[in-house]
Amino acid sequence: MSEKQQQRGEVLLKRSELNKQKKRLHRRRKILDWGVFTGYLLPSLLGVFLFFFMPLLMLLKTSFQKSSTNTDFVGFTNYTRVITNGAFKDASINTLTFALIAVPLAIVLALLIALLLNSGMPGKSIFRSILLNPMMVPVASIVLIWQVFFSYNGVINGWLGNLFGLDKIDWLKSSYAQIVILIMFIWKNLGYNMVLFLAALNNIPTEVIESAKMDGAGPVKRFFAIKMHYLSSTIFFVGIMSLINSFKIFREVYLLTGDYPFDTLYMLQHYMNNAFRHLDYSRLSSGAIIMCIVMIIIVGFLFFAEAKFGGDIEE
Amino acid sequence: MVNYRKVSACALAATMVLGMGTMMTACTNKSGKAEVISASDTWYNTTRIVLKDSYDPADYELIQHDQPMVCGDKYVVLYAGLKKMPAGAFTDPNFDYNSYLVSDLVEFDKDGNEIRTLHLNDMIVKSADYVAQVTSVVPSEKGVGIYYINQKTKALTLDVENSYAEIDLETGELVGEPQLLELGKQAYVAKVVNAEGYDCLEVSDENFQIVFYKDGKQVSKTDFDKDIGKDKVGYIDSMYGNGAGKLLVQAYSDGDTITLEVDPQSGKAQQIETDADILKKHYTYFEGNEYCLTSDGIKKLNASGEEEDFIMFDDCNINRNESNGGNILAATENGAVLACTGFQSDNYFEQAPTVIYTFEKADSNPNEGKKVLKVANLNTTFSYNEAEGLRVFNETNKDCFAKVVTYDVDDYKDSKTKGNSENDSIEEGKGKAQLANALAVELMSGDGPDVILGAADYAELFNEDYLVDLTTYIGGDNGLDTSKYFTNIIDASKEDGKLFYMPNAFVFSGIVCDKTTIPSGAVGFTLDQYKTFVSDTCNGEDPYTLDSTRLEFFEECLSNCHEAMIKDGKANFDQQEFRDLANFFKDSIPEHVDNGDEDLVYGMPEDGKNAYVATIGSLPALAMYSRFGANTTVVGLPSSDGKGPSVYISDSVSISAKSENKDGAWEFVKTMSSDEVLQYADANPLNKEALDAKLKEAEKFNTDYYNLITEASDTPISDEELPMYGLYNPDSGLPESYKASIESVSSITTCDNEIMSIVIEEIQPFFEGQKDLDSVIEIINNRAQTVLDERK
Repeated sequence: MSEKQQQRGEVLLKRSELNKQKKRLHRRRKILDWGVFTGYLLPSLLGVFLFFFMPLLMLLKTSFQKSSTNTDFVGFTNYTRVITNGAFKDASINTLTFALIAVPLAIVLALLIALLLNSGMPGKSIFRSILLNPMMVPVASIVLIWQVFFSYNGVINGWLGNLFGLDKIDWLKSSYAQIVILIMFIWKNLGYNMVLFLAALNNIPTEVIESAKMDGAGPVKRFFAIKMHYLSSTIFFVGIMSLINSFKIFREVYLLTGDYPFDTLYMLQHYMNNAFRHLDYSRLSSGAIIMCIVMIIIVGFLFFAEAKFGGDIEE
Repeated sequence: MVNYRKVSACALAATMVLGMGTMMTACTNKSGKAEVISASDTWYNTTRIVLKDSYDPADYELIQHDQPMVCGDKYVVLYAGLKKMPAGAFTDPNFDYNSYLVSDLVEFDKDGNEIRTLHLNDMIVKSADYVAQVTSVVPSEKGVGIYYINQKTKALTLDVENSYAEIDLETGELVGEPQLLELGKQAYVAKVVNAEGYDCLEVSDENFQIVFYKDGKQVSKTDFDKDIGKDKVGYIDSMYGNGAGKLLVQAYSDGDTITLEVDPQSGKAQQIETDADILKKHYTYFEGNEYCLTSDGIKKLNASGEEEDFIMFDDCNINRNESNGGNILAATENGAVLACTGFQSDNYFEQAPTVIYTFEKADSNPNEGKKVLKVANLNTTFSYNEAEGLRVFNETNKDCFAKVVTYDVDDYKDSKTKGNSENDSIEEGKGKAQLANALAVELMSGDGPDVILGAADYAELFNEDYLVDLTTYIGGDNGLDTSKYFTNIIDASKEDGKLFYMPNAFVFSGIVCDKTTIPSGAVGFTLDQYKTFVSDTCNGEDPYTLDSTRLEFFEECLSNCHEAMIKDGKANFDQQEFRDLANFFKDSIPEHVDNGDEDLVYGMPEDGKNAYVATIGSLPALAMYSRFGANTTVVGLPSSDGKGPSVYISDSVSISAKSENKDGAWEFVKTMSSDEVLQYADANPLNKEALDAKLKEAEKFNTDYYNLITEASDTPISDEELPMYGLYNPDSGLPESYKASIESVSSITTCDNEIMSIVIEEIQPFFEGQKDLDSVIEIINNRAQTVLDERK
């Protein structure tokens, strides 16, 4: 072998040793990173596991048991019992209907108000504060106010009678009941959604809007082609939050109308709350798991929609 | 970074799958084996003795026994009363009252036979110018300590001399000289309770006070005016040791009941707040230990002051009605003696006998091999016949032994509103609904009791998922002969043709009135008839709303007919019967007005009423309203079809649909429904012969007492005045009228508590004129249907 070849061999050998050293160092750094990363996450993971996953698993177990006092495995009997139960079906329809109406309405109204406030109108901060106030009002106070307004002998019926000569409407025990609750939901959540949209609108790069203006795009085109894309992740987030809040409206409904309200107000949580009161934990667990599955489907759909319409923004 | 994500996701998924798998394996299969008694299970041999005295009520104006004690191998009971007085005794200034007063200490042997009577009056009377009376007896070192008074017969004052003496039971003589007590001249020792090692004397003087004695010496006395407030403490209801050296006193103060804690050493008292559970426990002190009697058995305080089981009634066989309210006479390491009160018949001249139970720990359980039958009592306490039925079953059945599980409706009430009388009826309904729900879950799962007492009050349980239809058992090979029962009561108890409970005893309720004021042959009022009756006979004053609200009246009337509105899991209140009832109540029934007549005792001629709403459980109960003489009758509350009186089932027994021992449970039902047991029914027994026997006892008492008071009275007593004495004219035929009222019963008062609370809530605006009936019915149907749908 010539000297040149030998030298070349030595260089190659050195290079491979250097590479091996580099890989070793790289692996060590990775492990260190893993350790740090896991160490920071561990407390939260533990908490999530103990207070979220464990109860969920116990819920799943109870849903396959005969009863709270009898741990016999009964397969899907409880699920069948729940799905075929008339009260559960009514509750599901009411809850879904409410969510399907309330959530889009909450998003659209909040977006419109955010657009209005973002358009440079005077007194923006005052309006923002006013719209945020309902969030701070305690639930019991809200219920009291709504009772004063919407009870059979309440203010609204008084106005209808005195000003328009109309008959009284039993707002909470008639087909108008969901409208009352819808108004309460919108009133309570509008401010928060609006603030989220305002923040998102402020984050849209102005150069893109301006260049679109220069290219001759009108305001509608600019909104749908540019702003909506940038707002998609916020719309997704607001949608999920509104969906969750639409379920939380049970609190107010329960305080207003009790365990067994008029049928249009009878929600899934009423069904489960009554099952809890009756100590029928198997039925409660099965209902909760079914509701969980439906929520996963809905949120999954929202994820898909967000990815489809807003994915290009993130990239 | 992508690797991190994949690894994290895999780890999370693996954890979830592993967790799910672990959880699923936690589902077990129940063995399904019923509990069986083994020889090593705790058992107390029980002896029941009835103390048989020789006092004939016919010889006495009044004779009563009280305060039993155990002294050595004897039982000692105080008998007090008055012998039959000759005519003119009260007007004779030289009449020797003392010889007619009875204060006897009667001694009984261990078999309950009378062995000696000590006539205490002869021993304790001061002289011929005095009368003496024993107020209380307590155990003492040599035998019995007696507290008594001497009062001058010819004195025009109420001055008395309170004294204490000890009787040596060996000799039957007084021990030493009696001791004069340092009490006021007009102080009267109402009661003496031995508690926390002291004799606690309840003394009635200008005010009530408690005086503490130990070893015959006064230790202290209370001053409630100083400690609690001037005139704050009125009548003392009860007092007992709290197991911690203090005396707990329940007293009345300005119309309320208050609890005081008193230190016997100093006499200092303070008002305390306690809950009902603590107040129920009366501690008695024996040989270094504190014991208390509860509904489940005798408990003992251990060294740490905590309660532990001592003699539980599931470990022996006694009548639990007798033990309820009994007194522990003695307790040792391995046993106890309990003094109880036996069965009180409707002949009130014959006081219920004293029953003594002795408990002795056995080496082995004689019920070895018997299956345990779980019996749930929804009524908290046992009626006499239920308790006797339980005792007889455990004594005679060779295959099963019944053990009791109590469900107390108070545990299911909202604690914030407990004891708030304004909400009592609503909270009672809610508490019952909660109890029914809890029991339903247990019954469905198969973990509930085998037998249920008192299920008749819980319409939510009338479902083949929860309870067995007893009609198949009644008509079966091992069935019951229903010809001896009131079959109309059994038929009325059926729900859609199914019998979910055996109605062993019942009370009936309706309107007591003069039958000449109602349409001839009517067993109840139609709505129009009732309107006419109220306006014409009752002068516009509705008898029901005198004491109750319109809503309560409506609820009661609806309870008699609501089963037609809930059928096959469907709620349908849009029926003419409901509409008629609702409109009737809105238009014709006034709201209750508190007119301040709380002190008015109804049933008396001066109350000015011509009709009363009453719940009748016995002939004497009806006699209280019998001023209409031979025309007294009980008719039903208003309804669209004029139904007869309705029945409330006070004692019922049901079998769980999931019981694994239905045959044993059926034997229990048969025992409860037997002649032997039903003869002791407190209310009206289902058995016709038992009812006849009860009526005969009541008639005898009525006749004897009637003769007594008419002889003693200078002027004849009218039929209208007899109810004042709780009597009726023996020639009035009231017993026949009583039976006729029972035979006219066709409906049961029962209700689905959850649905009833919805109806009551929604009907109020209609009664107040704010809503029309159509919208109210729509809402009721809507909400009630949700309740029914949930239960499917």
